[in-house]
Amino acid sequence: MTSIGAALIVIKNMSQSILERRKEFGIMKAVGFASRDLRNEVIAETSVQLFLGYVAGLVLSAVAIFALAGTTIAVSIPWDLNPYPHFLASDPQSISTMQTYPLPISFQYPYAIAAFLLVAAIGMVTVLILARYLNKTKAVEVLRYE
Amino acid sequence: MSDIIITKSLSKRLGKVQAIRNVSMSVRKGEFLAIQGHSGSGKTTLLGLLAGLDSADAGEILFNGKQITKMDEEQLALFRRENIGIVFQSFNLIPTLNAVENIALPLFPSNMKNGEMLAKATLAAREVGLGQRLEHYPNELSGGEQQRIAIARALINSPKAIFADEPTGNLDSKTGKKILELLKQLNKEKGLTIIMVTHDDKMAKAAHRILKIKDGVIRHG
Repeated sequence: MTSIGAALIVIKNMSQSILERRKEFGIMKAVGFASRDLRNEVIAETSVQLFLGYVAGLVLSAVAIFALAGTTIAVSIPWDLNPYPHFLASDPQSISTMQTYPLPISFQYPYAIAAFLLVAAIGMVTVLILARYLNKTKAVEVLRYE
Repeated sequence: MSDIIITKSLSKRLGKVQAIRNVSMSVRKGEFLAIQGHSGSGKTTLLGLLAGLDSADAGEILFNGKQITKMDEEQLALFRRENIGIVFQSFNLIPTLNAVENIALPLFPSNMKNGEMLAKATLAAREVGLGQRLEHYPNELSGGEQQRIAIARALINSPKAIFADEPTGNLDSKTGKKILELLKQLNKEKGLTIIMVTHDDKMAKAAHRILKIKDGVIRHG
């Protein structure tokens, strides 16, 4: 989940950055970049950022899992579920009604892979949308910024 | 001297305005041509058409014998990269690239190695008298220096023609004069064809020939 969250933040920032750089892309087109060149540029930038975002998310998840894995939780056991209920003991005070369990948390590789695939799919859709936008940016617009 | 650009009955409409009307003109190889007109006269639109930045609604443009009016966007991009350099009034440098990277920008889509690109850009920077501040970013450079960077960027692909849209419009008169001198020098020493758009009489007089444009029509040729 952390990886997907990080990737979504990267996608939002990436899209915003591309939209804000419309003038820059106009200049690049004016000096001879083809739409294909700009698309490749966007794919490269998005891929690097998404990958870094995904890895950052993965590291954060691993750290959180490592920190929580040693944690135990104490659960109070009702007398009717306790194999040694207090009324059967000679000394009822000696019967513990609490039991501790380790938190059931571990790194799940299938989830990590699924998150990667989801991030890649979202990234691809974002790049396709941005590429369509870049195709519409005309080189002549750069003269109108004057 | 042969013609590098020939236009025949060129027309362009921008919204409800007929920006260019039936323009037929030619530019000789090695000529320094000024296109002069008031604001809204259609001079920048004409420059955009001649430089292959925009497509005409009607008419033809022949650049070095090649018809550019029928080219699609991708072909026009390649045409611009291989044949022309463009200098803008507001310099249009990329703020996140330093001076030498800005100069090398038109080479990025080529397969040239990084070192080779930067060496070529350094040479172009020296050619415009700016070999010292190559690591500086546009916001650390004066207007005159930024325009020199833009001129070096226009020269990097050894173009056949340079198109300059009000190249001194954002500069003080002293710096503007120096930029004009640089353009004249490039025209004289390298035989580069220069097509400059201006509204300024003094600037226009520096050219070999002046074309006056009004309401999208060439008045004098």
